[in-house]
Amino acid sequence: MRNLKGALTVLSIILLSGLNFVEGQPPKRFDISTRIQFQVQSENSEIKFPVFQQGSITLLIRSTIFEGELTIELYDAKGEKQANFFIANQSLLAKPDTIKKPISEAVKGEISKKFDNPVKGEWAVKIIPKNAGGFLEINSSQNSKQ
Amino acid sequence: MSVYKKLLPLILISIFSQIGKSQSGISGHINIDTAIWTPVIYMSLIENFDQMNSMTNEMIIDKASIDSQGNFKISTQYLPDDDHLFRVHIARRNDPPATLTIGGKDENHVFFIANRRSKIILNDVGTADFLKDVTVSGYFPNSNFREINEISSFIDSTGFTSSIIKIDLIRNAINEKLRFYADTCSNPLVSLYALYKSQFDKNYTVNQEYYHKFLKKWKNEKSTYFVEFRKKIPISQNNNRFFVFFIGGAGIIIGFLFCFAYLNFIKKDQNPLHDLSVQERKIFALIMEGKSNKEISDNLLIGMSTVKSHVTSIYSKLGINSRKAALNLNVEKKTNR
Repeated sequence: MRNLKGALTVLSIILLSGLNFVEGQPPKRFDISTRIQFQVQSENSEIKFPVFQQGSITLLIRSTIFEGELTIELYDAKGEKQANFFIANQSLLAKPDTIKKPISEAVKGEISKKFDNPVKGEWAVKIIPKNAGGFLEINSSQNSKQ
Repeated sequence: MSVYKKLLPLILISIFSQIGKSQSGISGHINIDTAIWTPVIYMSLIENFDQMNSMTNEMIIDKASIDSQGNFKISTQYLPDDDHLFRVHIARRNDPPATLTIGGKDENHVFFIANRRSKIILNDVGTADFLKDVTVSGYFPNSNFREINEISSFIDSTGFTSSIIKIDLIRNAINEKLRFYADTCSNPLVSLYALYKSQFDKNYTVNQEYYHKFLKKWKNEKSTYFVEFRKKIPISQNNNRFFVFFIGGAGIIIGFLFCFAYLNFIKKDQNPLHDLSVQERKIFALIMEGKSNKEISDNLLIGMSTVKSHVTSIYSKLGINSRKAALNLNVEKKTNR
């Protein structure tokens, strides 16, 4: 919990410094990189970041969990879901009769997306854990044409 | 000889059934760099379309080694009889087997539809997009499945040069095309998949009749795919609400008609003396006994003018105009003094 809050604070500082930097005109390049570690985490959180028009944005969101469940959702500035994944290490999903012996190890989810003409504004990554233990990495790189 | 003739069809059925069994299965060929990727292919059962972006260890129901030539084979003998959605994926050497990569050049999975009897062939066509361009053949619904993916991915190919408004217009047109596809497709699973790709959650409030018809068309589908879809469409609840409103409205109308009938027919059939006052009833009873106005006046100790006034009122209320008419009224038994 403390780790998550600490990571979010660091990220906020990075974002705020970035916003100060862009005052007046958008930057040529704007990168975000963060890593969040959580242990039996169940509190939802959201990471917001600015997206400029006239450019492309590349996003890499990856998470590995050793226990619990984690849903990651990426929303654009209009609030439309652009990508998502769900990973769980003790499934609550119904097992079919035909199921074979499960492979018990960590579970990893990864989104790798490039948006060439993204909606300008504040995008958000929603983190929805349920007793999740593991880590999450978010890397974003934005190139402006201006 | 006749015994052989009888047994021949059974023998032939048995042979063809064995041939069918031996041909079913999931096989294929993919080119992977074994320095990066573990040469194992994992197969997951996807029980509803919302799970397409989900990964758990329990979803993985089988795995097979990829040989040095890139070939693999997975049995389908234990799969369900009806169509289901499956996903095969591979994992990097440093990643756990339960790894799902969505998007990018390293997207590590392919979806396909299969059942116990399916013969599925997955072949890497050798483009830069890795597993994204693996072709699925051998079972016809997969060509429709791929077609839907091609239609829905068209929006991504227009993103680079188009404005936001144009992208929205294109997206609407694509969603309309997907709905048309869902409407005309003969395979229930593919049909439902087309609807999932059409952003139905944003459309059903404005296009309820379409979804009502769709669910009616596939009302006999009991698979988890349709069960989950029905939970997302509040049309059935609306129908129930409509039914409640209909019953309520019908009740009000029936009640109104009953009151109308009561006031106009039933009430008329009741004792007309109920409309008379207590004094008028007493006077009416005396009239029925043949008493004159004078006698009534003496009997009830009231003035003649009062008696005449009551008699006029009685005639008016009973719709008569003479004592004779009053005597003809069959109300003696109904008189309530």
